[in-house]
Amino acid sequence: MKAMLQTAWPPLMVLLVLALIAEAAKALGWLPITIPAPSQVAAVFPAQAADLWWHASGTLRSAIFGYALAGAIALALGAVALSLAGAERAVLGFGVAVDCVPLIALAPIFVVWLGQGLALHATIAAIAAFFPMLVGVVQGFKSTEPTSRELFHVMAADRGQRLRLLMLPAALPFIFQALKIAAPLALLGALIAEWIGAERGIGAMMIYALFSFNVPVVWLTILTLCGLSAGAYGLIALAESRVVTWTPREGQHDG
Amino acid sequence: MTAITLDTVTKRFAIDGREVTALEKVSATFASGSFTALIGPSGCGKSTLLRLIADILPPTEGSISIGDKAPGVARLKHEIGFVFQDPTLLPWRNVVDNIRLPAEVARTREVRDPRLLVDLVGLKGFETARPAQLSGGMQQRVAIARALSMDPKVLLMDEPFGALDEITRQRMNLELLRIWKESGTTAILVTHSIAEAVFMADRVLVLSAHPGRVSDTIDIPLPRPRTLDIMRDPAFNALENAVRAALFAEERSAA
Repeated sequence: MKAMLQTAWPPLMVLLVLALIAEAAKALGWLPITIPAPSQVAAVFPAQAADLWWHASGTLRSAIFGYALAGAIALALGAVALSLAGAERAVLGFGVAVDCVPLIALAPIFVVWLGQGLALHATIAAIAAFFPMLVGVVQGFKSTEPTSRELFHVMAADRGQRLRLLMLPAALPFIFQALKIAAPLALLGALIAEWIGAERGIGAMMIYALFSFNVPVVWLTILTLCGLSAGAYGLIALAESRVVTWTPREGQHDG
Repeated sequence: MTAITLDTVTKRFAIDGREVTALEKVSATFASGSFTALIGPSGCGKSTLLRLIADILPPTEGSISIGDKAPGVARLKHEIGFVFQDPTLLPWRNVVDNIRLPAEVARTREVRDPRLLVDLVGLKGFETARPAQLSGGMQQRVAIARALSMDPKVLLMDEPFGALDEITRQRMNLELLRIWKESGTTAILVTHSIAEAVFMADRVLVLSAHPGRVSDTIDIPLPRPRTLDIMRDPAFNALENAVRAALFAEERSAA
């Protein structure tokens, strides 16, 4: 907990300083009407807190479902890519194609199939988070050295042992890296899906505030999503520091 | 009794659709409990020869036996210890757990107590250290201890000290001789160093390249146990010169 505070305080200080600068700039009349002072955003928070919680938890739920779906598909496709000869390029090509799809254009098409609800939001979140997860899984399971594989061969290890004792631990740093990158993407995907129509979600709240020109609430939703993303990243980083206690690919030093 | 016998062993690889002969009609016998050094220019197939004996690669033609078994059978019975050029330790395991790995894979108790092995390779006090905390020489000693943990009948070493500085290398060689004497395994050491080959072995096999063949065999009748003083002995120098002459005779005929 103490270590967490120690890593958290420098970015918090930066945020605080930025907020003070924004506050001063607003007071001096340097900022347009579309950018409120941080204090104006803070002022609307109490009245919005209940709404904000209801919408944010909806977005969070969509993102978590999408994140899990993306992880499961990435793991399955990663297994195919690594166990079938020549499949790796095809699978990664598919991943690139999925990643290149403009989500904002795709989302309305998905509405036709999935309707406007959790299924849609989770699917779009999954598409947004999928590619880094796929790359992480493939890179991770490929990261073992040829001599390590030879060692396991000489030791007469079976497939299960090879996976459990060598490939999985070697893949963990890569997978955690991917999970950290994918978490904010899943939230962003859920947000985009909510923009095109949702009753519940940060995206819906944001659109409603935009249309009623309630600038402080727009910024409140933006800040909430930032907080959720940073929190998700931090939570996974914390799990990583508990699991990956070694230095991956440590160079040898002489002696 | 675990002698190793190679009977007209040929190994060909297909590289870019072209067939390359790595080893051609190699016949050799390694007496039980003996120490043999393999020396030769790059591309002479020394590492390939070790990998054939360890059943990492199958021979194209000819046969190999370890005691009265095929290499594959000996491997499955955990009779082969292999030390690679790199330590190939698992970075997420500490020293003792790395040494314990072969027993874990074999699903048996260690034949040799890992803690005594740590002592044997001079790493007492480092039992719970992670590989990243050790120097290159210490890591390679862990690799040797790991290779010895199942009390292998055959110890195959592929330039294990190639990356170490001269002083560490000498120290490691002395320790290796002590460990080999104590364990009674049949040892084969691949090396680039003439002095190392003569210092360590009962017999030096000189290989030539393109295709890899055993071009000369030089017996090393120096008394054991060997100490560093022996390297100043005229007999040692004469043997070194004999190995050098055999190596460069090949170079001349190749040119």
